[in-house]
Amino acid sequence: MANSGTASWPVIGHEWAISHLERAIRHDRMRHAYLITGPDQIGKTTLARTFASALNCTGDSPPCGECRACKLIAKNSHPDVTIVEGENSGTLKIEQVRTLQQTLALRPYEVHYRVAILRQFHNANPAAANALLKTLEEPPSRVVLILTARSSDTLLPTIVSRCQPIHLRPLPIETVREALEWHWNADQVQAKTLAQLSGGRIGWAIRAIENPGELEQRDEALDVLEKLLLGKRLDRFAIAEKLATDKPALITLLEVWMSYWRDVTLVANGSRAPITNYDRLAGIQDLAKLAGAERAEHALHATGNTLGSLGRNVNTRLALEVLMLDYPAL
Amino acid sequence: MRVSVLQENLQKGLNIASRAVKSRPTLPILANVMLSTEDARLQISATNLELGISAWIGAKIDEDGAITVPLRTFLDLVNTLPSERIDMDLDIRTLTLHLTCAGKTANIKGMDATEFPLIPEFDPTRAIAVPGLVFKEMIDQVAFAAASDDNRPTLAGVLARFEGDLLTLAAADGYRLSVRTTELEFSVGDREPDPMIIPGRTLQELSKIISDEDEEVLISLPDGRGQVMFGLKNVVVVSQLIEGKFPDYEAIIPRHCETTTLVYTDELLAACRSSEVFAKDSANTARVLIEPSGNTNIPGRILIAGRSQEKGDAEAPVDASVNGNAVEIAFNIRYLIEVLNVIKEDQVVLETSGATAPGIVRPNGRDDFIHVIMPMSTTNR
Repeated sequence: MANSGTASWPVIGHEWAISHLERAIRHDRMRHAYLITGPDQIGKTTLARTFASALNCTGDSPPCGECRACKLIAKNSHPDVTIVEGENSGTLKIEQVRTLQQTLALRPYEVHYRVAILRQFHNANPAAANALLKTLEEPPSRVVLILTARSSDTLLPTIVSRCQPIHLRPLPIETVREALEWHWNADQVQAKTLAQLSGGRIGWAIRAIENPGELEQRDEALDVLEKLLLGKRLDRFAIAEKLATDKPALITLLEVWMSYWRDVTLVANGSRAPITNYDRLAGIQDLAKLAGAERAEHALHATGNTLGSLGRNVNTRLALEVLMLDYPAL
Repeated sequence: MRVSVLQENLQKGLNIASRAVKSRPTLPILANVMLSTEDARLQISATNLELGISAWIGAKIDEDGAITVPLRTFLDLVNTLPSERIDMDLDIRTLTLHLTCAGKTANIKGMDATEFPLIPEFDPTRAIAVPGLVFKEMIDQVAFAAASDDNRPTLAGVLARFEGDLLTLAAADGYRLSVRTTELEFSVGDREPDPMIIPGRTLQELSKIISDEDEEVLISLPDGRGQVMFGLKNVVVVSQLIEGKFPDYEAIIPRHCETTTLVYTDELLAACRSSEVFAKDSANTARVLIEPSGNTNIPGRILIAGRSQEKGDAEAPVDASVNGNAVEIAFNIRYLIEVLNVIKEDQVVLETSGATAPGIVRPNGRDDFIHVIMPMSTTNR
């Protein structure tokens, strides 16, 4: 997998971040801790994992993708590269940090560096974050910590200040399209559609290509949203009751809704930024006109809040019903 | 891979390797043991990345090869087989190990051996030899004092240091310190390795593996791997070393004492056990009263007392020869019991210098083992 940047890392986009990390390795000036921030599914963990490969690769041009270290890291089964994340995409707990610290105290098993990738650190509970502070401040030698999070704002300032920040943005639509055509053998039409719909989230586009059901799910989700907006309160509650039964599916659905409301807000404000759900442009324009900027933005925030609260053990059905009341009546 | 082994040998090998398999491994493959052929032997290896164990058993090898299979499943199966010959045949395409033993057959699904963490080659030529049972005793006398919580990773380890012909093991957890030295037959000379910190847990497992058959333990440090290897007769144990600097423990050992108490080990141990019954409820605090007799014909005594607010109290006096002033001091009785448990000599010496100074316990007539226990505070009782 070639890359348009200077270094040949198997990561799509994020050229400056790659060249920065690559330079750090070349001059042997790695930081002990990095904080990679950016929206979901744009390649934060991929970048982190590739960095771990590059650090430990035994091939000629790291990461070669061929040596034992590269292969095992790509499979998440390297003894020196630990990936830590909340179980069932929940919060990261203090016990997990403690277990990690035990591992980090030992010298690397096979390679030069022990690397710990702590995914979705915004989901770490405060106790876990505080427990990590000491390791971040005085890490054992030959240990590199990589944290990934949606944004640094929600993390403890004490965590952020101890890491080298690397902020990633969603990829340009064009980059996603090219990558889909080159590396995932998508045909032109499919690549264009998916790239647009992905809104720069390469991970989502790849998932959609590997799992065609993804696109249908999205279509369904948008159909449901458009239908319920036209319905009365009773109809909305009936829909809410049905949706509440399947929580994992609900989260994907709400993410789709959020992207839709974002588009509506953009259009209602007369913004020229490209919209994500461009295949639904007509519906979005209608809605923008009917609801207006203020109410669209309110709906966007409400959806985001519901999404957040679902991660915090609320009653799913009640949360959805509240959301239904927050959505504008047309 | 096509191999034939005896059930008892396989069972024994698997049991040794199983000490390195944790119940909840961090990587799926760590729940497996690796079987690989080597000359006329079958190598059985397991690792949890901190501790790795390889055991070799005699085997008839018809075709070379390697595979990893889930340890629990494999061991459970082997335990049910009669003690006869087991024929194993690997289907490399499906990664399935086929077993036949006394008419019974079984298939175990495995994982590719190339994904198994690398276990370094043991190089006996550059190893340092320590008598097996001496090393076992050293571990037993030191490793229990290492910290079990991992807030301070270096204290969860045991310091091992070679100096000339002396090997020293030391462990401390902030409340006690155990140091044992032994003289080696050969001086390490210019091969003297840097001091290393070995996880206490690995050493405890190693001690359990060392048997009477192991005349010597060969200690070897593979280059630049951050590991230490222990070679026994048919087993090699690899341990990852702990990064960091061990505290300067020599500074903690008191250089002189005011009261020296000589007492029979088993009597003192029995007295400690009686008071422990009650001391359990008060954070294991037991009072230790040392009284000289003042008359050379009558022995002095040492009194161990445990008290619980709810349950009551116990006092156990033991005759002792006391040299120095009377002392009252409080110790964590568990610590005292644990160190007395690993002293094989008939008599022990307790050295104290007042209620707030650390106490020393050591076997009488030897100076290669010393154990320091910090006293407990008795002011706010």
